[in-house]
Amino acid sequence: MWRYARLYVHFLRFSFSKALEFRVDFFFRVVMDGVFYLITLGFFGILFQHTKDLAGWDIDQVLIFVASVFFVDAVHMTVVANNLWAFPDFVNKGQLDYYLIRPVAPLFFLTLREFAANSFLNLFIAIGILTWSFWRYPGELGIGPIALHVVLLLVGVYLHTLLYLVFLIPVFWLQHAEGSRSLFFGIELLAERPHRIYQGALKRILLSVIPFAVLISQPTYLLFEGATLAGLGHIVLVTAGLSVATYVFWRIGLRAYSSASS
Amino acid sequence: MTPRLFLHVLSLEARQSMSYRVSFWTNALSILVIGFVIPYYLWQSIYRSNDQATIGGYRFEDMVLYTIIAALLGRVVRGPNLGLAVSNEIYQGELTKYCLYPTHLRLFKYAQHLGALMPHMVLLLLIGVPFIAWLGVGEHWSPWNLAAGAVLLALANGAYFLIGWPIHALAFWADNVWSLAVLLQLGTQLLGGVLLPIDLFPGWAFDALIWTPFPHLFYSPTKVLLGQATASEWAHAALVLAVWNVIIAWAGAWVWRRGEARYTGVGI
Repeated sequence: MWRYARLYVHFLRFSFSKALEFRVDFFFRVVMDGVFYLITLGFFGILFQHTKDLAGWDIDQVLIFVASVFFVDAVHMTVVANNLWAFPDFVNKGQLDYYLIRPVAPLFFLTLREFAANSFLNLFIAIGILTWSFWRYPGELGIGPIALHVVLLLVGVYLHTLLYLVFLIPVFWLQHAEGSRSLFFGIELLAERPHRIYQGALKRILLSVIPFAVLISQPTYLLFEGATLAGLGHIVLVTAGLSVATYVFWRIGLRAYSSASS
Repeated sequence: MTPRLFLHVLSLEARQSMSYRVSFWTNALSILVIGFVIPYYLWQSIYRSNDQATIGGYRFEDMVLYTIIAALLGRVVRGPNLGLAVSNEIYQGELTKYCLYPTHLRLFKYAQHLGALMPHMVLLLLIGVPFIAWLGVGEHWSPWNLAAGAVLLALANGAYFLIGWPIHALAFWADNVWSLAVLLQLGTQLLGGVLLPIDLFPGWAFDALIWTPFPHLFYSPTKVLLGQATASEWAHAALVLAVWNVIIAWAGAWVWRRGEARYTGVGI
C-alpha cells in the first residue's frame, strides 16, 4: 500500500513539472471548465424561469445537485481523465506492454499515472461553488450529512471511472474507441440530471446496471431526505458489483490483446 | 482549388467516414440519448409538475420535436472535428506536406469537412424523419421550409467551420488548443439553442443574441425546417450568418497568415 502511495507522489511530481511546461494549456483548461460551469448554471437558471420544481427539487436543491456535478467532474478531470483518454492509443500502439510488465497493478498505472495539474485549479473552483451552494441553502443540512455527501460523491468519481473503462475496453476487439467513447460521453449526460425525472425501466437501469444515477443524483437525494441503511446499502452493492464486473471485463479484454498488432 | 478536386476530396472523405460502421451506430445511439431521452424526460417532468399546456409557447410535443431536430442538426452543423486535426498537424509538424500541395489549404480541409458530414446526414434522415412523422411538423410547413432550411444549414455549417479555423490556428502559438474547441462546442450548445430553444431565454438576452451567429447555427435552421419561422426571420438569420461568415473568414485568414509565418515544420 505504501509503495503505491509513494509511487503516486512521484506521479504528482512529474505531472506538475509537465504542467508548468504547458502554461497556455493550463490557462485554456481553466477557461474551458469555467465556461462549462457558467453554461450549466445558465441552463438550469433559464429552466427555473419557467418552472418552480424539477423532479421534486426547488432551485436551491438543484443548485447543490449542479455543484455536486461540478465537483465530480473536476475530480475526474484532475485525477483520471487524461489517463483514460490515452488508453485506446496504448492498446492500438502496443504501449500497454510497458504497463503489463511492471510490478505494479496495470489498472493503477493506467488510471492514475497522469495527474492533470492544469485542472487542479478548477477543482478548487468546483469546491468553492459546492461550499457556496451549501452555505446559501435555506434549510438545515448539518455537517455529518454534508461530509457523507462528499464521501458518496468521491465514490461517484470511482464509479464514473469504472463506467468509462467499461466503455473503453471494447477497443481490444474494435481497434477504434471513438464510437464507444462518444457513446459514453452521450450517456454520461444522464448523470447530470436528477434521476427522478426518468421513469420505469430506464430509471431502474440507471440505478443498477449502468449506475449513472448513483454517481451524483442518488447521493444528493440522500442528503435532502436523510441517509437510510437501504440507500447506503444500495450504493455499496452497486459499487462492489461494478468493480467486479469491470475487472472481469478487463481480464477478458487483456486476453484479446496481442501487443502492437492489436 | 478546382471544383473537380474539391468534389474528389469530398467523396474520398465521405467514403472513409462511412466505413466505420460501429462508430456510426454508436453515434446514432448517442444522439438518441442526448437529443431525445434526456430532453424527453426532463421536459415531461417540468410539464407535469407545472400543469401547464405550453411553456414559452411550446407544447410538450413541440419541445420534444425541437430538441431532437436541434440535436441532429447540431451534428450536421458541427460536423467532424477536423479542425482538431489541423491543430494537431501544426503541433506535430505535419502541416509541411500541405505547404507543398498546389491547393488552397482551407478549401481542401473544408472539402474533407463536408465529406465527413455524410454519416451525420444519413443519421438526420434515419432518425429525424421518423420523429417528424410521429410528432408532426408545424401547421405552416411546406417544401419551401426544406429548401430554406437547407440554405441556412449550409451557411451555419460554413460558419462553424470558419469559427473553428482561427481557434485551431492558435496551435501555431499554443501547445494544446483542444480545450478551446471544447469551449466552442459547449458555448454554442447553450447560445445556439441545442440545450433549449433560445426564445425561452430572457427577452434582453434573446434580443442581443439574434445579432450574433450563435442562434442561427442551430435554433434558426431547426425552426425553419419545422415550419415555425416566418420568411423575414429566415432572411434575418441568413443575412446575419452571411455577414458573420465574411468577417470570421477574414479574421481566420489573418490569424493563419501570422501563425504560418512562425511555423518551422518541427514537430514535438
